[in-house]
Amino acid sequence: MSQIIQQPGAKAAEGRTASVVQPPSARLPEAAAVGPKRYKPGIHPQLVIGVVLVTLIVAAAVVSMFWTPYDPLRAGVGEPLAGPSTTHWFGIDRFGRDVFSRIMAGAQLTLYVGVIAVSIAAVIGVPIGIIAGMRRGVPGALLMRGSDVLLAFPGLLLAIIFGAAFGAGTTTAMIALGIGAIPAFARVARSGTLQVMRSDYVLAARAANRSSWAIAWRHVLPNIAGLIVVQCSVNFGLAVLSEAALSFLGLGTTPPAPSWGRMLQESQQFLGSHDHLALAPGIAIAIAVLGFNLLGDGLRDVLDPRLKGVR
Amino acid sequence: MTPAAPSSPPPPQIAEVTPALVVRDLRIGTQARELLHGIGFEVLAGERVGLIGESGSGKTLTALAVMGLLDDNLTASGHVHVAGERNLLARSDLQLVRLRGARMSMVFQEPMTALDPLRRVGAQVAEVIRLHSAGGRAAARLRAVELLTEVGLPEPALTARAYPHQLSGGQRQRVLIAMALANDPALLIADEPTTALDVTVQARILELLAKVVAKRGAGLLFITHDLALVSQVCERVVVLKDGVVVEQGAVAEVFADPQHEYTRTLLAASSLSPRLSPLISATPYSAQNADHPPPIIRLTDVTRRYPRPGGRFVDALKGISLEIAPGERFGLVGESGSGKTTTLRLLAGLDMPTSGTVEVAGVTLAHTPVVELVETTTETRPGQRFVASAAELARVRANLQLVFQDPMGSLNPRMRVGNIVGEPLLNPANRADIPEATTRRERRALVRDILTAVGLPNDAARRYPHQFSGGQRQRISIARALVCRPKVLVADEPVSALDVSVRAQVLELLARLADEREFTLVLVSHDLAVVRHLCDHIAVMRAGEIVEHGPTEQVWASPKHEYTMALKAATPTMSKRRH
Repeated sequence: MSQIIQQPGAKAAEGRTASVVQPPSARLPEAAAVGPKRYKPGIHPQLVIGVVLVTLIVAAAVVSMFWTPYDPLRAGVGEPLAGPSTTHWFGIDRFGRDVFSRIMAGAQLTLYVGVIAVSIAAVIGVPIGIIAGMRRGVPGALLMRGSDVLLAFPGLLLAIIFGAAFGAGTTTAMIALGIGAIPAFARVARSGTLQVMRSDYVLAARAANRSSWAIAWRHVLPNIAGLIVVQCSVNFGLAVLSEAALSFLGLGTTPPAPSWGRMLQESQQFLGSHDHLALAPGIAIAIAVLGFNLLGDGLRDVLDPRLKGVR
Repeated sequence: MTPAAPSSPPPPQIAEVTPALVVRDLRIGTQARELLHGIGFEVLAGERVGLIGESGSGKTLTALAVMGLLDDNLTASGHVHVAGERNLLARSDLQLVRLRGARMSMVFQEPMTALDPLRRVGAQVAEVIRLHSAGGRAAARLRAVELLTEVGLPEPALTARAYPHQLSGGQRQRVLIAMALANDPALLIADEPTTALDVTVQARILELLAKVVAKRGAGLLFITHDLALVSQVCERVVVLKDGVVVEQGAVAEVFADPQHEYTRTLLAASSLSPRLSPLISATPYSAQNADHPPPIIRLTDVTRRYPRPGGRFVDALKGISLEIAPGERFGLVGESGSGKTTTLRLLAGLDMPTSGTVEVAGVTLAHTPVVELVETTTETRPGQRFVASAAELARVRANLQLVFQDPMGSLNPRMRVGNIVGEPLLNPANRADIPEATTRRERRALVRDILTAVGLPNDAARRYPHQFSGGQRQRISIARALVCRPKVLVADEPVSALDVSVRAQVLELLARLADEREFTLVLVSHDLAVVRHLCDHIAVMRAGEIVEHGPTEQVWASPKHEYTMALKAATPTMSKRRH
């Protein structure tokens, strides 16, 4: 429907037919003549909420590098298992450490894990997908079957194997999570590439004898960028969750480093009696995952020039 | 074959009968602005009325409003009466459901998407019948077969059991017409019913529409952008522009003596008269002439065979031979499946012939079969591919450029127009003959020049493709094709997706540029009228073969092959219907 509506404005621009009775719409300024836009330029609510939530996490991480209310590793700053109070906002854990300080410091680790895991997956997975999409036949088939094999292993299982082989730790966990997410990126990139490769503008580029490299860089990548951004944001959330799960299992971050997942695990035995210990890291994880997902969705829309207002 | 409608005028007493459709002061708008500014017209029972206008004029909105199918974010006011019913705009959706399909029904533009791909067509027709009548399943099924017979489908009982993809485009459109007629509606709306069809099929569908409507005494509202179709099918015409009815009246009167300037413009744009290239008419090309330059394009006995799953083959080209002289404007005419697009892909080196040679601008692409694995969606199997050296392909492509049919799909939506047009210049091989394209600044100047040459505004380079209309986007495509000064321009249906008035402008632009820049133009089209307008030589293709070829006027005036005659007869022209 929106297509039908957008046409009059476009037609007014062509405007080479002889002058006729001016309909009211023709007198409107050109920007208005483009027709109603479902995506209002300017504020994009999802993006705004996503940016706010992510900024919150990033700010906590940055500030915690220089200052936290208490040393997140120091025990005995207050009565163990004490609930939230004015001096200790999120309460005290069983070793007498300040939970608010640990949440702030944990944000660093969470971002670190998410960024590195997603970068590994995207940097390796997207080129694999694009190559597989552009070079069908043997190379493409080999690449995709290889990534299918990887896909058969659950990411967590891979992380557990890595942990057993190379020793548990944050770095091992995030490399394993990154590798486990490669097939997801490769699949998304490949399906997007196949679609772009069928378009006439790629045919035109081929007719202009552009190299495969140039077609991949100038035509394929920008047109699948939206898909990849969304995949990044989804995987960022997954990586944060997986890190928490691994730490929960004792295979991720080793104590006493503050990790939201480990905090969640430690709170387990106090569920029912001291809920604040589970609530604080739980909410922090939820905010991070939600924030990055909304940011990804918002970025996809904002980065698409077609959805922007005309001029 | 001639689609001319039964020409008997409606009986005089028809005016006393309730009109099939009355539209009064119909306004449709969004919250932001009004799209349809109070239009009004009537369709009498048994009358065929053409609603004409360009994309965006509001003709489809009008049809949707009459059907009660407007999008939720649009509001409509005014009066719409179908067959004496109360105002439809004042009714709830629930009340409209009972009328839709029974009193008024619609035939859509794209017959493939308008049918459910997972259900047999007979069941789909029967469903429409059962929605509005109490008869049982078996009765509906029988009636469906009757209707399929009436719309002229072969072996209706068998066809009823077919799925949409098993039918041709024309057959699918016949099924849609059967569905629309299922409950003897008082009003039939046909929204561009033949745009997706081949010319010869179009003629038969139009004939059918006129026939069934006349037989039932129903009103027909025929929506199109093509005046030639209106002149053949309709008795009255309503001309819509930017949401306003600028003129309406009997077809003969309006077309003979248009009152409004817009109608005159449309009429002028619709009649494509042949326009000969001064270059060619001065020096007629003949193969016998020894001192004539060698042809720039030569196809010798070219075949192209596409493998299909299960070891079968489809022969897209069955050995065609062709010569095109430098400076010629060559038209390749044929319907879908005739092999014209395959020919074009071979010329551009985008595809390889199975046998034969393709010679473009002095480069011979010889056939060297290589066996390799080809992955299709379902299987990986050995296939044959022709391989030309990269340098040869580079030379062909530097000399031959393409313009595509779809003005939106052929431009990368993520790139600014300046970058799109300048892209061919980034390839050093393409700018070998253009000394002034080495630096970025020089290339930008070249892009600016070519954008001006195709008639685009100065700021076009900084904008994105979606900010332009269809005609302007086609100009961008032409600019991109011409920026590295090719010797040959191949245009694949460059105007078939455009409005009539824009169509003439783009054709005019192609002709002018071909004269100014002295390139050879190869125009591929299904429309004999378009080719005749622009080209001096024509080849008619059918089922992978060239059935006729020669100078345009010779082929047009005295076609030798029966298929060319059929094509010519089916091509809608304004002059065909004179009362």
